[in-house]
Amino acid sequence: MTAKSIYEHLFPLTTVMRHRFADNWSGEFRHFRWTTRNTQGSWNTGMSGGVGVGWRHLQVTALINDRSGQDFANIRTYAHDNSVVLVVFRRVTADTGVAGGLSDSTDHFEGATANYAAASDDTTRSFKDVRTKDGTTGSITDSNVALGTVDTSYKLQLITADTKLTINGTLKVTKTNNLPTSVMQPAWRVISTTAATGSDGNIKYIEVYNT
Amino acid sequence: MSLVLTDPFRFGSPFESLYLSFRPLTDVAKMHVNEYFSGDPQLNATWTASQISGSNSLGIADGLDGGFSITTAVLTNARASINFNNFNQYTHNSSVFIAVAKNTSALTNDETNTGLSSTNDIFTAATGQNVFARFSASVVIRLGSSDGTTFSTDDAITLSGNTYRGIHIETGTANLKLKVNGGLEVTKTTDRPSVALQPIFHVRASAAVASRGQIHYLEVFNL
Repeated sequence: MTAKSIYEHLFPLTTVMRHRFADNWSGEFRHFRWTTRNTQGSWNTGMSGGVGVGWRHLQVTALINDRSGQDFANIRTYAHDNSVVLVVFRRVTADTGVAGGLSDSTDHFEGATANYAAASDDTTRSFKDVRTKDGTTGSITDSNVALGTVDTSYKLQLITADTKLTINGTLKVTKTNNLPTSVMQPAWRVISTTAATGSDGNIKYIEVYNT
Repeated sequence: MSLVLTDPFRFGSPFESLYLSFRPLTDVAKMHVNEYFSGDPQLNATWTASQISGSNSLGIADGLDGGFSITTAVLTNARASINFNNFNQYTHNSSVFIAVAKNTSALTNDETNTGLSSTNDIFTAATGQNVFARFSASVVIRLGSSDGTTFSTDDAITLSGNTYRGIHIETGTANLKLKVNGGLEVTKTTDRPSVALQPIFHVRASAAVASRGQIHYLEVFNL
């Protein structure tokens, strides 16, 4: 300890820090830096009063692939090949997928021509996964971590050769195919995986920085 | 403090709070703010945008390491800033200002200024008291200041201001110090401010050509 500046807490002054941000989703009803989108269906979105819940998206309609999330309104400042994402989110309900990471699309991790890299807990899979898309082809690589409905920390490290997924502090996946190729924005979303209502997910922390 | 937790994944360190990771509880924290300028097409509630001369463009830039951008109108002395709406909470003689910024203008005398100011403008002595780093397309970064009567700048190193540089300004009772990328470059003793100040990011056009500056990190605290 103790540099008195946050900057020097992270880097010496001889290192010119690259772009970064962190968000705690605590206290504000509307978060100024995020754009909230109900891409399909009707959703209730906002800060939750529950202990430790953070920002919540709750499905109202009842179609498969109803989805709702947040992004930076296509202000894309984070690198596809030199960046890190740290995110804590929770899938609350069955028949639901929650994912967080980087995307160049306002449809987040679904867009037909999107570039993205995301950590995901999705009940159409058997394990937590990392999913990427290169603007044309998308693919998913599973970890060996079982799906779950508790808060989980995910770290995505994007470099030229691969995207690494670390779950709760342990490296689980190194994915080398269909990596994103363009500059991206932070994004996260909740998706319904069946034609039922009530898909529910929340996020309480995200941090992104270029390396 | 308007701080955010920077890396919860570092825990396992002995610090359970952000406060304690910077200082013991016996050290009462003073005013402190940091800003990442990331993600919001608009400014958050902390900042005020000031159109000082001309109709200038202000907003978060879409692009790698974009940050907040000001592009001036095509007008000599067009200028704009973002500031704290004259809530002057930082001391002129015991504070630290840190920023990562650049100027991408073509004209040598265009200015991107960032630091502390008593007003929303940095131009002449008549526009207020201040201390600031000045980036331009020329090959020096300068440390400027005004005491409200006299306005002056001292050159720093031969280092272009048109790529992102890390700026550290410390205000003291005897002088103002500018570090660029960690190296002490200027110690200025003249024309120093004597009133409380606010953070500012400011761009001026030197001729009827648009001038542009960008900033993606800012931090200020009282010592």
